[in-house]
Amino acid sequence: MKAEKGVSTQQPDFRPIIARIVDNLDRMSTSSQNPYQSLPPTAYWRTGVAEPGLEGLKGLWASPWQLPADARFATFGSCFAQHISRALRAREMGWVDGEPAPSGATPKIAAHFGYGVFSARTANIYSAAQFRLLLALACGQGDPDQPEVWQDGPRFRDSLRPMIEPDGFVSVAEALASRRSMLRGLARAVRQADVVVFTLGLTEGWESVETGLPYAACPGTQGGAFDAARHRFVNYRAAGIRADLEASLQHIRLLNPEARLLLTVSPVPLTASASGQHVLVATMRSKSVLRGVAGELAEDDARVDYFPSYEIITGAPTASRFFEENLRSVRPEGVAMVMGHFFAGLDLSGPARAPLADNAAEARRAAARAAMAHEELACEEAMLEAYNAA
Amino acid sequence: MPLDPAPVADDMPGGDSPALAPAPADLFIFGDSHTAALELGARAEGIRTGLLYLSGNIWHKGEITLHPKLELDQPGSRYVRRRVTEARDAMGGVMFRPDVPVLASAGYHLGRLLPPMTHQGHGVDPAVLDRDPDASFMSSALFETLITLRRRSVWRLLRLLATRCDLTVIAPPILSDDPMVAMAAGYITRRLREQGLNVFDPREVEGPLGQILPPHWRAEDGVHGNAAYGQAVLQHILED
Repeated sequence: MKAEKGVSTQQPDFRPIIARIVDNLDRMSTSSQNPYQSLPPTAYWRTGVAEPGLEGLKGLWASPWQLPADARFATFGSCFAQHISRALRAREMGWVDGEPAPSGATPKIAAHFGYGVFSARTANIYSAAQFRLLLALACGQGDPDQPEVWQDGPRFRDSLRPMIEPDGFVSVAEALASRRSMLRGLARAVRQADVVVFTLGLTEGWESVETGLPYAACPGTQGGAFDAARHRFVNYRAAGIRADLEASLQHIRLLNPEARLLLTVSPVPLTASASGQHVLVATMRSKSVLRGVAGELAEDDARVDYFPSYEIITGAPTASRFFEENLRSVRPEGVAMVMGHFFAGLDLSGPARAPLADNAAEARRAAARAAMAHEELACEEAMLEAYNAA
Repeated sequence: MPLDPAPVADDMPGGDSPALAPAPADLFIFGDSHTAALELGARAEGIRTGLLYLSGNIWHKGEITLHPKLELDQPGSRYVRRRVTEARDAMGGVMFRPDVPVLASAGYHLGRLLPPMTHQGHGVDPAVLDRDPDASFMSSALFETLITLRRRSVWRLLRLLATRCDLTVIAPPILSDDPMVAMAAGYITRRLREQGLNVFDPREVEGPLGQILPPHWRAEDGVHGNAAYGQAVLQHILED
């Protein structure tokens, strides 16, 4: 075909137009993008939970703190907390024992008397109110002899930890001395810890009408005698629990300004509820409130974090398979999975420090060795003298 | 809590022997270093005495057992076997026989028992918490459990020996007012008696024997009784 006169035979340059269209499309695309489009697969139930399945769950927790390679953890709380103690020791990690058993006690004897279960001989701490009280007393705030000692037949029990002495204490004085020793151990554990791990158990508890102080258990169930005029039921609410945890945190910082608080919620359901609700409903109430408070506190304070042991055991992916037949006790494999996620999420990339020097303990050991050496020498001399006298 | 008994050989000579030669001694003393005061006291009283001394360390290990021929033995220890053999020879071949009373300074050994328990700063007296800011308190139940763990094999040995002879356990002298020592000694005395053993414990005696050992009853090392103390103990036992 020939070109008509006056008409250019050059092809039009569409490139600027195309570039403009592409640019417009890009801008259109950008303006229509929403936050979900850039989320990782773990943010979606299908790719985060349903497809990987229980065994494939990843990234459930990542510690926000870079801890030293030899980080030290103090563990307290409800019965599930002892699994954390045990797992840390099994991995030979820095588990703080603020109240060790006497030398010579076998592991079986030590455990029988409540040593080595938590970082001090606190026994189970189920409520935030109880944690707050113990920490306050450990800080020297309040009279450590004020919480009741219960008579149990010829023996006595500490209302703050009624079962800590298997057969009870032989006297009130012994119960109070043991309590003071525990408070000393609790303070020592917090001072030595990088992270205080506290496992919240439940919201239901009992307290003294007269003093308002919480009991570890309902009077009459593990010693003592229930008196409706002196003992009252309390189902702690979110605001009160938060206040107790914030006060606990203040006490912890008083003992150790650098310490961090890692909160967890025990997945173990209530054994019984005094709330008037069905125990299943009461359990969900307890756990939901605790979970909410713990999460919000972690969101609000950079030195508080939340670890999801509750979610790992009770979440939909497990279909309750981590519970024993009583639908309450957690199976060992469930504990193992919880601890697997715990260790996977820890950041221990900080430099290790010099080990803690316990000069007092070493001095005591040296004194004991010297005493025994002297005893040995003196014994031999005594016998030589005997023969000499003959 | 239940504690498993230590295995101990149950048969030994002496008990079933129809006829024993006359004993060359009127009294047999065995045990740890506190046997020295008893032996010296016996001699001062003019009592012919046989003696088996083994260090408190050896008793503390809890490895002394009955032996069918030697009567006593510590498996693998030639030293113990030699000392036992010497003592048996001096007693005419049998240490534990029905016709010779036996004093045992065994089952306590507090100088070995207690110091290790204090390594972590533990005490049994509540006042320890006021004295030492690093101290810990140990309940009496735990304390007694640890003592039982360490001493049960010696106690069983004593119980078996007591079926073959007239045996009296002699508790160590009172050397200090340490509450831990007093509590340990009192508990051991109680447990030995619960097992049917005769026990002389100076802590239960009124008068000088029941008080902290005065200088004139102390050996030169300061941590044992001397001949005069041993004599006083024997006189007290004989009076009873």
